[in-house]
Amino acid sequence: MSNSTDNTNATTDLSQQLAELEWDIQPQRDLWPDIHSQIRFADKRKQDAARKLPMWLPAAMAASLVLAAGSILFSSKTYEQSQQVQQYQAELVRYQQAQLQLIETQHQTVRLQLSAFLNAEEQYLNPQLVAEARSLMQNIDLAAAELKHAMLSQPDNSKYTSMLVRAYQQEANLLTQISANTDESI
Amino acid sequence: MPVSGDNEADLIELAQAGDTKAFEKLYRANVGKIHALCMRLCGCKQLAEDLTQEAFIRAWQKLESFRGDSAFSSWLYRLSSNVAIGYLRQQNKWKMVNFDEISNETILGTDSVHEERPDIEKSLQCLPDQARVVVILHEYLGYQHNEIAQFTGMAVGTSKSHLFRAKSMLQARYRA
Repeated sequence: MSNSTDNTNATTDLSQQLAELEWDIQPQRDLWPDIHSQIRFADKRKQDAARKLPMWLPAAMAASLVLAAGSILFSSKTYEQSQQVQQYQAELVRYQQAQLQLIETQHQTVRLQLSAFLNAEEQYLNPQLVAEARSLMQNIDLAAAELKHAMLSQPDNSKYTSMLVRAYQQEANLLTQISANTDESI
Repeated sequence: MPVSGDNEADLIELAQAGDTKAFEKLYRANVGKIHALCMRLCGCKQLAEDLTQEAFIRAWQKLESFRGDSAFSSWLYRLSSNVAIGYLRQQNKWKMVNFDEISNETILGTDSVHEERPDIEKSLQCLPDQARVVVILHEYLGYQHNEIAQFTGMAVGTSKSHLFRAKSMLQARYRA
């Protein structure tokens, strides 16, 4: 008997033997109660996340718009109004800091959720996707550090706030996509 | 397996809309098959229950992606295989064992070659994880080597090699 014939016989026999095994074996305990409680918990977490995400963008965008408007007003002041300008600038800085804190708080929430999700799901996700997600998070951190530095040196320039919001929004988008589309990797 | 008393497609649609009762019926109809698959893939009854549970949780989370292009059970098998293999890949023995360097006797034991008809269940559980996974995915579920490579992260050639080696071992036992 040739090797290839032997191998064909072995293939047929192996498939046949596997098919003859019992392939419907009930677990010893009912797994449903645990599954049910976990899917309810996961659904609640998803709803909470979905509820939080839409709030984050409008708030940050509103802050950017206010800063942009403030910047225009500020630039129209004349030298003679320097006293008022200085007061306004101080208010602007305070306002900007408050907004920045809001943006940072929102971003930390997203960051925590994304990190927790990646840690929990890493083994089921495409390794390249995980690496890209982590790389994006690092890049966002670097960009945010640069932007915050620029914001401190030019508090009247609202474009940095907008850029920071956009950078953080990328991470929020990533969280939404990665948690919704992991099914593609199954 | 068709779901008795309910149309499977209707149950899937309801479950996709968030109906956990419908999903429970899908679970009851499929849990035995998924548990058996997990048990064979991981080689441990206790672990199989945990993996089965995890597989159904993931199925719920990914149910929206099921479009009906394949049978629901096939989709579930694929997802569950992924869960079980994902777990095995995290274990050190997945990476450490080089199947090509182990003798048949080391894997299957010297007594087994005297059996008139080898116990396939016992033989499967004696195989290294990677080889067992390849055998089940290829010979039972009918996956191609390129699909197995995607599942397991191993090269296509390695998948073929594992299968060839496993078949050769069984063949040798028959000849004895």
